[in-house]
Amino acid sequence: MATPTYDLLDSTTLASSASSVTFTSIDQSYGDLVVVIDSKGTSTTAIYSYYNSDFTNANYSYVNMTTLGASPSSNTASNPFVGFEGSSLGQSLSLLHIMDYSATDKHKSYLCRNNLPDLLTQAIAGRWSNSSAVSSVTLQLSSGNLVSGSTFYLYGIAK
Amino acid sequence: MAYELIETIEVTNATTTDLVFTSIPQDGIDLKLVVSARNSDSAPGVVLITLNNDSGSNYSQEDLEGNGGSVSSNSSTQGYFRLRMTDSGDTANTFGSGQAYISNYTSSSNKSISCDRVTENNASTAYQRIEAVSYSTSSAISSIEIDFLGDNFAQYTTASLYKIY
Repeated sequence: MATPTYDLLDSTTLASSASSVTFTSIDQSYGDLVVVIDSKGTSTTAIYSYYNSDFTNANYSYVNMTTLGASPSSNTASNPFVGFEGSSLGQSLSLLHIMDYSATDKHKSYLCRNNLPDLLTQAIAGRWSNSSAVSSVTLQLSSGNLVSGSTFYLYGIAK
Repeated sequence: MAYELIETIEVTNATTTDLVFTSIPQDGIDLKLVVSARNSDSAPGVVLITLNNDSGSNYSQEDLEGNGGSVSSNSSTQGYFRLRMTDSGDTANTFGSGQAYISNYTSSSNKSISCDRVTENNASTAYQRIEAVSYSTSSAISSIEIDFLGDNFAQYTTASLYKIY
């Protein structure tokens, strides 16, 4: 039997609207985490990925390249931005990859592809300025709620 | 293990015009298509992809592309979505790379797809694109069709389909 290298660790399908989804007690034996978010919000709003209940935006930073707006652009800010959700704009699909999440000797980096076909596509790179291992991930909207039926899958990739 | 190869198709001669995955198992959550391809006949090397043999205007798209000199974005609704691959005019023995991640492929909701792809060319012009696709359907995905619009895939082109569950 092949050695497991990509394992489903946890999942959530919203039965009712919610402002956030949290994965806790994350298994620390993997190398990277992948979070797949297929969701919709009650308004067009940003979605953030916080680690270990650190909800201080100043502890995060990101840079992106995006089609949002009249012409392609690149932005940077201090928050854990991983994409946009839309209400009337269909499903948003985000593929979030958190590298070396269980390491304790480095800040945590992530790469994210965010897709909202009627509005934008974008690639995002971010950092949490903390060397702690990631034991929880909270996906939270900046406003409004995630709608019922939104799905969230957490995978571990072996070292 | 939550990441399993369903099938790999490899082109063994340069007379293959399409690659098709059928009877896709319905016991997964997401699909990932990975393509390494070259158009052996002409340029550009644009691979058209349809799902469930549906060529209706059901694929809405938003893309961001760079070509080494400029960047552009585009919105459209088409009867397919695309992965631009390397063509016959590009550097010999090089193949373009692309992937498409299809979320919740067995659900009764529209399907969200994330695409990344790049051509390969030892010249000042090569193309890298990221794309968001929404496929309007209530059906589960049971087949994927990959076509060079009548042109032939070069020998050693491969397409692999993975199930994530």
